[in-house]
Amino acid sequence: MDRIEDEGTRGQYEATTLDLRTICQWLVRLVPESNLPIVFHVLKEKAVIQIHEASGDEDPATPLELRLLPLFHTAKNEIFESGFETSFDQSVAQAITSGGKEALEALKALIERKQIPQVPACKALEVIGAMMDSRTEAARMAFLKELLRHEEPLIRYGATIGLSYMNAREALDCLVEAVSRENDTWVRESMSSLIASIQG
Amino acid sequence: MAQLLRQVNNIYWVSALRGGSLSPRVLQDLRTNDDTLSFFALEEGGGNLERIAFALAANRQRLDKFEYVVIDEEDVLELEIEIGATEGDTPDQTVNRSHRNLLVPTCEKLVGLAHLMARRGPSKTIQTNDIIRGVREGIANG
Repeated sequence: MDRIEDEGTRGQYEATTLDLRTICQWLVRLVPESNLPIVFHVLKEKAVIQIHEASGDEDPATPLELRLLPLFHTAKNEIFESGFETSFDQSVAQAITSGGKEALEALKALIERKQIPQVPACKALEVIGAMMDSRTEAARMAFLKELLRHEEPLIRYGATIGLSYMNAREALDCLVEAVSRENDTWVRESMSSLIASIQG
Repeated sequence: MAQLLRQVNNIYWVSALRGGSLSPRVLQDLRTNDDTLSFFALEEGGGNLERIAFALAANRQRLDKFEYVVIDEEDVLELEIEIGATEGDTPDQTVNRSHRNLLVPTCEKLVGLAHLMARRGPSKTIQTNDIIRGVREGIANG
């Protein structure tokens, strides 16, 4: 951290056009996973992240987004298997339980800005549907329903699977509407299967 | 026509095939074991499909949806991929006898198989609730 406080080093940082993703990728390689959240927090405090903010980006990352980012970048190469829980699943559930609606909004912003890899983002949507937390249930349901309209098929798929773990009957109307406009055959099949299962 | 089933995770397959090109992320779902990939032979008309799904689901940490792709044996043989009958490792001995190992000793064959599976998609899904019901019935029936 001393290096960053050093004016000369800061000048070097300012001379570059690093975006947040590049910074994250470096940090994920260099810093032990358990220390990443605090490192991101300190970087934010010490203005290194402001380089990104000052570079013309209209939507600077919030502290909550900065805490979520490393989680997704470290999960980039994780293998996800149906029916098996990973440490990523647990971390996502913890982040949503503790951050509530704000954490969901932060995640949505990261997805919208394509700042996180799609496979972990999709997996996170499954986790958000499957997690047990009555306090955030309504917000999670609304979040997943909204993402049924996302431009990326993999995100729509993740939202569909997430809803399948919740009280999917409540999401039936949204799913019926979503399947009618779905243009990806794989996602459409997943939606149709879920609708058929709900209608039983 | 003989058919083969493979369990997939759609997270690696959705929108993976675009304009005839396949995303390398599908290979995350086709990890070989000793140059082989695990499939199950479907009975004519798919009569054993649910039984295979329940048996495989019972091998997981928790009961979850079952996504799968079915391909024709003929298409596999056209790729010059050998199909071997080896015992599966599910709790269902009948299902285990329908297990097949597809020998994919080269990247070319693996990618060929990935293309075949992607083209035969979309995958089908047995939802979590149906898996839970099926596994419960299976346990009750011994």
